[in-house]
Order: sequence, then C-alpha cells, then structure tokens
Amino acid sequence: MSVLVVGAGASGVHATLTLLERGAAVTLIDPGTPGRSYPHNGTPFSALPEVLADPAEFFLGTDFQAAHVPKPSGRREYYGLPPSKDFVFDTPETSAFRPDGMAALRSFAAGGLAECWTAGAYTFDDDDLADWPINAADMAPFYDLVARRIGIGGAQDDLTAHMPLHAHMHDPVTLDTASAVLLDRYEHRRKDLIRKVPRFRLGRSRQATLSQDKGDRSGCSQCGRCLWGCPNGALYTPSLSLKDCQSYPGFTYLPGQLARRIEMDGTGRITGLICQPQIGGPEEILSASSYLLACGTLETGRLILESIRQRTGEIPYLGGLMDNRQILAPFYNLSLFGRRVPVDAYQYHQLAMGLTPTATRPYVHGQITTFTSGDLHPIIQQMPLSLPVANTVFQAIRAGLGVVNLNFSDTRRTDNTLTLDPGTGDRPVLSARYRPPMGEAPMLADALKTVARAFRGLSAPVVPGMTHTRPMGSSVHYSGTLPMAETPAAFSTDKTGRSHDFGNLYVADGSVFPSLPAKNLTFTLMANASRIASGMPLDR
Amino acid sequence: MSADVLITGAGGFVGQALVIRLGSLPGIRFRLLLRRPHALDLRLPDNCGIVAGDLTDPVACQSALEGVHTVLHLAAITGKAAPDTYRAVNQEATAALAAAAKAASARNFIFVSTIAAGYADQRYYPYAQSKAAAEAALAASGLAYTILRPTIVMGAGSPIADTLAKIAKVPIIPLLQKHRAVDVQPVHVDDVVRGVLRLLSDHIPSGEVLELGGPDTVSFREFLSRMHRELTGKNARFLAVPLAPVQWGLALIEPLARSVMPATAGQLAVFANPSTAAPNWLMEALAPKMIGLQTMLAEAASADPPGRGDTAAIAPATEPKADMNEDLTREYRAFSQYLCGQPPGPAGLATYADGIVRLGLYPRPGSFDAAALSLARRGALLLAALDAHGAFFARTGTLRRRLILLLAIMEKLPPTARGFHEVNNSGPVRSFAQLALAGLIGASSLVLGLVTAFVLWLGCRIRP
Repeated sequence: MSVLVVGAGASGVHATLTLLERGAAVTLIDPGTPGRSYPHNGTPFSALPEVLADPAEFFLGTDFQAAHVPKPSGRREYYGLPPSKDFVFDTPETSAFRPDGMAALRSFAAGGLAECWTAGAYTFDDDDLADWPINAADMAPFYDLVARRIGIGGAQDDLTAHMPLHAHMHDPVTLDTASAVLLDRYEHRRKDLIRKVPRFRLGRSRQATLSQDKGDRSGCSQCGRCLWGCPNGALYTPSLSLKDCQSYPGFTYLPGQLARRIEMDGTGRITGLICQPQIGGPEEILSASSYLLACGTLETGRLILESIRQRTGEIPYLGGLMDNRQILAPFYNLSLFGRRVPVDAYQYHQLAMGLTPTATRPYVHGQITTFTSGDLHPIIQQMPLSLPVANTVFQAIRAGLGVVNLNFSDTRRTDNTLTLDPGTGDRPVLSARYRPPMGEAPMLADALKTVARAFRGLSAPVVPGMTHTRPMGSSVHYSGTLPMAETPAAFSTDKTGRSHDFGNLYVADGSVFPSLPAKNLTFTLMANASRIASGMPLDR
Repeated sequence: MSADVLITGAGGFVGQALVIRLGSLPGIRFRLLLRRPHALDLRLPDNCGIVAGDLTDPVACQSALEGVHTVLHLAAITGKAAPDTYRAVNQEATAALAAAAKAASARNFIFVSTIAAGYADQRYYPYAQSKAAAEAALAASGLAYTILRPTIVMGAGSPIADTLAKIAKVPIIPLLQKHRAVDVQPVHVDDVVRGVLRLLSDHIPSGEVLELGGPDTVSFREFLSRMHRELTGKNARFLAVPLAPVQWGLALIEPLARSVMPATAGQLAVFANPSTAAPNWLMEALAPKMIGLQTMLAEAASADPPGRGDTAAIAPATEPKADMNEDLTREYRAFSQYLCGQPPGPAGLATYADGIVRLGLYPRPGSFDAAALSLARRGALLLAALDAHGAFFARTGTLRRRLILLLAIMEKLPPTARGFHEVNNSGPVRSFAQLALAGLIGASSLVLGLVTAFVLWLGCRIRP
C-alpha cells in the first residue's frame, strides 16, 4: 500500500510518521525550502554579537529587512521575525496569491509555518469541539501520541479544566523572573481576583519546548535565542519530525516540488498527482493507492480548485475560511520598575490565560509573554521622545514589559472563500477573501475590558492606548474550507478525513476544521493529522 | 513598456484597488503616472509600467501618454488643503492632462470625480468646487470622456470610512444639520473598481456623468447609528447641532489653523447635501453583485487590511547611491555619538551606508526634510533638538528614519550591542530620578526643536 502525502508542515509530517509506523510506503512531496542551522550553539544571546562573523547580516538581514524603520506610506503589520527565519516565508513566484480582507502569510519551507511558531501546544476540550463530528475522547490518544513524539511541557493548574491533560507531559521550562512574579501574584490573589473577574484563569502555557534532554535534542539552556532560532533543538519544529521520517525504509521524500493538480478517472477516483519542480521544468505525474493532502488550508484549497478547473472548466468557491482574530495587549508589571531581569532567558510565552465561556461568549485564549530580550529599536521608537531619551526610559521600564496575545474563536461563514482568479501568467491566482463577522468589535472590546480588569488585579495594568487589534490573517491559523461533516456534502470530508468528492483522497490539515476554537491550533493539527492517518485503510 | 491605459492617482485608495484588479487582467497593459513612485506601497503587476513625474509637468505627461488610448484620471488632492492648492491640482492639472491627452490623440478619458462635485451647496468647499471646475474643463476639452462620481467610498483601508468611524465611535454623536436630514448611499471600493472596468471594457464614451452609489440608501443619522452599533455594540445617542454657525466659525479660522483643525468647513458639506447617486445604466449593471452596507460597516469596524496581493515595495533602484562622502561620515560620527556616546565599531559606517541605500532613506532635495537632516549633522544640540521635534512632528522624516536605522545597527553590533543588553539594577528610586532627568531633557529638547524647526521652515519658505 502506498500513500502520497502532499505537504511537509506540522500536519503532513505527523500524518506521515503515523503512516510509516503503520508500515505504509509513503512518498512525501513538498517545495521544502530548507531551513537554516542556527550557529554557535552554547553562546547566549547577549554574547552573540561578539562571536558572529557578521552580526549585522544575522540580525538585520542582507536587505535590512529586520531594521524596523518607519515607512512614510504607513504602518505595516509587524511580525518581528528575524532574517534567520526568512526561509519560512520564501514563496515561489509561480505560486501567485491574492488575499482580500486579510494579511495572509504562507510558507513553502520544509516544516512549514511552524518553523517559526512560538510552540504553544494546547488540547481542545469538548466545548471547543462542539461543532466537530468527533469529541475530546476521540482526540485524546493522538494528543498523547504527538506529545510522545515532540515533548510538551505543562502543569496542572487553573487552565487544566479547559485544556485536558495528556500523557507524556513534562515539567515546563523554568519560569523567567517577570512571569514568575505574575504567576506568584495570581496564586496569592486568586480567590479575590476570581470573585472580581469570574471568567479569568491564569496558568502555565503548554510549550512544545523541552526542559530536559530527549534523544538528540537538548533541554532549554535559557540562552535567550528562541526568536532567532533555537540552536539546540529544545524548541520543537516540524522539520525535526521530517528527519525522524527519514529513518523509515518505506519513506521517500521529494523536496523542491510544487503540487499542481490531481487527476481523476470517470468515477472520481484519483489516478495521479501532477507536480512540477519549483525551479521550473516539465510537469510529472506521481501515483499511489491513496493520497493525503496536508499542505495547509490555502494550498490544499488551490490544489482542489485547480483540479476542478482543469477537469470541468468551472471554478467553484470553497466557503468557510476561518482564522483567529488576535489582539495584542501590552501590560506593565509595576513592581518590576527599575529592576534587572536576566536578558538570556526563554523568550516566548511561559504563561497562558483563559476567559471561560458563558452562554453568549465563547472561550477566549491568551498567551502571556514577558519581555526578556528581543529587537529593541522597534519598541524604543514607539515613544514620542527623542531616541536617547526614549532609550533611557526603555531601560528603566524593560523588566516590567509584557504582552498578552489574545486569540478569539471563529466560525465558518459562506462568504469567506477561496477561489481562483485569472492571473497575468498562464496560471490562475489563488484568491482568499475574508470579511469579519457582524458585531465583532463590541465582542472584542468586552473581552479586552475583562482582561484589563484582571491584569489591574495583578498589579500589571494593560497600557492604555497601546492595544493593537491585528488584521485578520495575522494569526496564520487558516482553516475550514473542506470541513469534516457527518452528512456528505460537496467540498467536505467525513470524520476520518476522507473526501466526499474524491474516492481515495484524504485531507489532514486545517481545511477539515468545522470550527476554529480560540486556542492555538498547531498541536491539534498534528494530532488530528495523526488520527486521520491512523484510520486510512492500508489493505492492499 | 508600451501601454494602452494611463492611470493617475494610483497611490490613492481607489487607485491601489484598481491597480491590483488590472494586474490580474493580462489583456490590459497600463502605465502609472506617479509623483513619488517609491511611496507606492504595492507590488507592481507584470502588465504595468511607471512614469515618474508630476501632473503639472507637460514633459512627464507627454511621455506618460505615449501610445495610450485611454486615460483614467484619479489623482486629486483631498482632505485639508488650501483653496489655491485644490485649484492647481484638481482643476488646472486636470485641464492640462486633458489637453495633453487630446494632443496625444487619446480616444477615451475617464475621470473619477466625486459626488461632491454635484453638491447644491458648495459654500466653503473648495475641493468640491475644484472638482466641478475640473469636470467642466474636461467637458470643454473636446475629448471623448465619461465622468464617474462615486458617493462615499468604503472598504478596508478607506480614509473616509476611517473618519466616519471616528465620528460614529463617540458616546454622543454630534449630528450637524442644516434644514432637513440628508441621505447617504455608500459604495464599496470593489464596486467602484468594477464600474471603472466596465467603462474601460465595452463602453463608448459619450460625455456622460455617471453617479455611483451602493445598494443601500439610508439617512446619515441611520448610517452613523448603525456604524456606532457595529463599533461599540450599543445604541447611538445624537446631539443635534445647527450646521451653519459651525461652518461659519470654521471657515473664519481656517486660513490660520487649517492643519490642526479636525475638519474644515467644506468637509462638513457632507452634512448639508444628500450623497446619493442618481440611477443610471452602470449602477443597474453592477447592482446584482454590489456589496451591501452591512458588510461595509463590519469592515470599517474591523480595520482589516485591503486586498493587496503579495506586497513588496518597489526597490529603490533609481535612488542615488550613498557614497562614503564626507557628509555621510560626519553624519555617522555625530549620530552614533548622540545615540550611544561612541561609534559602533569598525563595521558600523559601511553597514550604515549600505542600510541607507537598501532602505532608500533619502530626503527630497530642497525640502524641509533635507534641510533638517543637513542641519542635524552640524552639532549635538541641533541634532537633539531636531530629533525631539521629529519624534512628535516628523516621525517618518528622513532624519528620524536614519537615526532609527543607526539605532538598530548599534543595538546589534559590537561593542555597542552590549550596552543595550546589560541592564542596570538601579532600583525604583534611582530609576525615577533617571526618568525625571530624561523627561527634563526631553522637554527642553522639544522646545528647542520647535524653535529650530520653525526657523528652518521659514528658511525653506524664503529660499527660492
């Protein structure tokens, strides 16, 4: 039995691992832009400028793409990604894309978008999965499985009620000073705080980051280089699992390939996948017994749309595109004014928060990052002060700075679509249209008010006027265009990920999400892909 | 590159949407006439060329019009300009462009005007007057033309939607009224683009004036009330304010205080005149697929980005190369001393010069921006003063942009990098003292900066 998997991102590599563990022969195709190795393992961030051969190139990039200089043409959404992770967003010219109403990002890297994730790994509970044809018990074994593969840190605390525990959970990375102060304060004031702000819960975030060594990977050394790329593999990325796949004899990896379309016979069964080298060249057909699409909602959508266009001349719309709305709410921990905290420390979120659901308000999820180190000039220039003065102010307040990244759930709506538009070249352009739901702004404002009240209670008030609602698309949690559904319908899959439209096609990425909970989805992408791969028939 | 269509005003809100749409139509080759090509924040499609130049420059117009059969004229000054500026840019430049198009034998001239050009009450509103005069000039040019008058153009990134959202967001909305309530009929930018494409494809120009509104007409009060609900989730409350005295008062102070006024007397004309479109064949053709008011309001409340495609700014290829001349060396020394008290090490200057080229950090020659940069090189005090001024009033000025570039470099290059990451454990009391001192320095540099900038501004005005 042979399976052709398209896409080597978070979903693709875990589906592949499951198939390989089951004894299948798997061919994985992907553009597979290779990542970078991060130099000078063992050197902490603060010492890095002295040891790098060209620190300007490493930190600012050859095109100065990471020098955040204000543009006269207005503000752009700031992702703050360093040049060392530029490979994640290198997209080929031949893959034209037009987002409308969203600032969408795509990745053609080996490992996909999660090569630059911040490692938040949360389980969905039954509330989250209310609109899904499966429940938390169906997912549980696969959360266990993925946790065994990648290692997830977490603790039992107030958030556990909304994020089921799973097996293979290790102690999380040691807390940085500012996060420890915040958590300590929550624990001391918990009763009073929950009385005043009943929906608010705080706890450790779940991190796909090792605190202890595991196989080839070392535990977090607190080198403070998460943002520029974890040099010792403590912070999990899917390219590590791609390496694991390569130890199986049944595995064939074909990088440098763009999947163009699928070919089917008269019965709707797929007979082959047409792909083309990314650098150009003739198209080639690859065949297998079954096909599994895991190239991310946008590219999986393109593949389906392009296949239908080639076959029928019609271009349908795939409805129900979703993404998490995100709000960045900076806060200031008052007791850390003028204090020193170590610069070389784990940089990403160590704490998470939740607003528990009510009858009318769904669960709101937040990740809390306290400032240890990072690019300073983007922060210093925010202040309406001459730069040396702004720098003095920044140094005095830096220990207390932090940000809550709030995530909001989304639902499928028919007018949020993927389709193909005519392009200037010989290939059509993938077009993604997103419009926000009615009544969104008051809902966001209400949640923000609750969070602000809670953080006041923690003596870490949210900074007025600095809250930023990120444009749709920024969370890069696209999903929902080929949803799992109990009843067969066009452009959907059954609960095993099997397409209702094509005989031997499975879909195992975010496309199959019937709704999008607020919690970061990557862990569920991996677990669900493994679940789907575990149910694929492998009889010859 | 040869082109069939010339577009002016491509950097504007409607213009950008149009360029993106036309970019997906390989059958049309078009060209943009742009005053500042590098300010266009958009990836240029393959079927699009650029001529850099001003509308009022006959040579630029002539080369932009070469081989063109249709002119799509969108360029205009909006907002809060002086009456003379409106006349020069909106009226006289349109007349000049029409004349040049005629001379170049263009067959079709599509002028995207505004619903305000047809307002009955254009008192205090030089913008509307200039657009009406531009329409008249076009009509007299002898060209085959069509005038399109969109109403309030909404859509992600719409400046007017942004302004209206600001008005609608306040707890009690001041509703300026003349005699009776006026209606609005906002139209989505996507529908304006569809309208223009329709005129571009199979329409024979016959001097029509086509108004273009969306599918829903509501009273202005209803519009603001729905927007308020979308923004806040609450019902709006209004305070009726008589329009005439407010307009009169604003008109009185306008010549002196225009730049700091929240709105001009003319901009309030939208409260005095209905902004609805008279039915016509174009609206009828577009109607079945038009975007409704509710979607426009949800978009305005969300502040999500417009559809731009994969974006990448145009590379600053035609900018002058920064050579390692004396000015740059002096600037580098002065700036790094100012920021860190020391230069950032041997690689600093080359990195700084490279960054300026790559990011295109050049002032326009002869501008206030250029004068500020060159003055800032002359001494620490002037630099501190102009930096403080820039932090408030010229946040995207070249001086501030170069200083931020250098800050980014010093933050990451040895030996200065260490200073940024070795945090003093001063404790709250010493830190407060440091902040107080910083505040004092900040305030005095700002005062000095304002004086310096004023003198510099005068100098720029007086110099021919």
